[in-house]
Formats: sequence, C-alpha cells, structure tokens
Amino acid sequence: MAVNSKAGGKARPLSPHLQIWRWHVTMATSILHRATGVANSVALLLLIAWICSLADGEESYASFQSLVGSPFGKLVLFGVLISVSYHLWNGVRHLFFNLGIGLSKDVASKTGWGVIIIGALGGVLLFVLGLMAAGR
Amino acid sequence: MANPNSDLRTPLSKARGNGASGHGTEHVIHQRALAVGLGIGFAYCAFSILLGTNLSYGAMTEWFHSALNSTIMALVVICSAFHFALGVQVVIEDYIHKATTKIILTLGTNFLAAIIAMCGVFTILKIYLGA
Repeated sequence: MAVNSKAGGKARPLSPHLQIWRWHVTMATSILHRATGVANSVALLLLIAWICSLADGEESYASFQSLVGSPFGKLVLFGVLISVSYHLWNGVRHLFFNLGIGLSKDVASKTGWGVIIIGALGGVLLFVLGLMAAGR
Repeated sequence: MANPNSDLRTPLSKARGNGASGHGTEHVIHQRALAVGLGIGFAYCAFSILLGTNLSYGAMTEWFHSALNSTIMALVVICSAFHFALGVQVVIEDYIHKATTKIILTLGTNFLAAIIAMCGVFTILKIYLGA
C-alpha cells in the first residue's frame, strides 16, 4: 500500500489507486460500459448518416454503402456493433441491478463475464447477419 | 455511524427521492426508461432489416414505407438522442470541473442531440412519404 511519509513523520496509509488496484471483472464491465457508451455516439451518427443518405436518393445511398463497405468502413462497423451489443447487454444487467437483483460479489462477477462474452458474440452475430443480408 | 439503525433522512425526503442537490432523480429514471424503449426498438429494427431485406436502396425505401417500421425507427432515433445527451452529460460532469467548460459542453451535447433527433425524424418522414 502506498504511504505518505510527510504527515507528522508517521507513515499514513493512502487509499489504493488505479496503479496498484487489482483489476476485477465488475470494474472492467463498469469502465467498458462508459467507454462503449461514448463509442455508441459514433454508432448514432452512422445511423443518422445512413438514414440521411437513404432520404437523399439512390446516388447518396450508393456512396454511403461504398464508404461502409470499404475495409476501413467494415472495421469501424464491426467495432461499433460490438460496442452497441456490449452496451445493450450490460445495460440489461444494470436494469437488474436497479431492481436489486444480482448485486452480490459472486453473481455480479459471473454476469459480468456473461455480458462481456454475449456482448462480443452479439456484435459478431449482427455483423455476420449484415454481411449475409448484403449478399442476398 | 454509532447506531446502524439511525437514519437522518426524513420520510418526506425519502418519498421525494432527492439527494443533496434537490433534483436529479428524474435524470436517472429517464435514462432507464429510454434504455428500455431503445433496447426493444433497436432489436426490432436490427432483426427486421437484417433478416427481411438485402440492404439495397429499393429494399430499404420499401422497409421505410411501412408506417410501423418508420414509427419504430423514429422512436429509436429520438430515444438514442436523449439517451446520448443524458449519458454524455454524466461523463462531462465526472471529468470536467471548470464551470464554463462544463456548461458549454453540456449545452453543445444537448444541441447536438436535438439536431440528431430532428434530422432523424424529418428524413424518416421524407422516406416514408415517398422520397
């Protein structure tokens, strides 16, 4: 534990901070929820751009499609879908928390791993469904 | 606390549900309510579009010509915009402590959310009415 030697010559304990704090899954899910929440702003802008291009006509829609269909566009879309999926599933976990369910250390850790895995799989599923739909 | 059963909050204070600032409970409740609506609407739109269309221009305009689809997509856009504004506001309040910067960023976030919501609704309406 970090100590502060200045206080009256006697070493005083300081609260542990990020550098020496052991990572645990509930901490990771909380940080990821905020990070994906901010990242989802990009998803929202993409959604609006998609709808705008559709409203603007066939030409605009085609250029939007070629932009998102490019390798970089696909990479961004893949990341955004995982972000949205994780935020959605962890959001459901938070709704249960708000009802007072699943707050024990053991259950919160298990559901934490659960939403990380289901969130990632859900993003992959959406991406694959998108590729399949575009290929129809 | 010496006595774990002692509670300094009055019943009226608990019923109002407010903390020291005297407001903010509605922020939490709105964020949850928007999240529920958003989750359901997103799931509907995602699976309806990904399983029922080929994402082409023709298929998508046809999808938006359904009043049900257009309504749900418009609600998703509106809920997203408000959920975004409330969520980003919390992030700003956590990390930005200078009052003027905080106010400008929060104001900007809310303006952006309003633009996003309006833009989404009007463009969806344009497609629905046959653009």
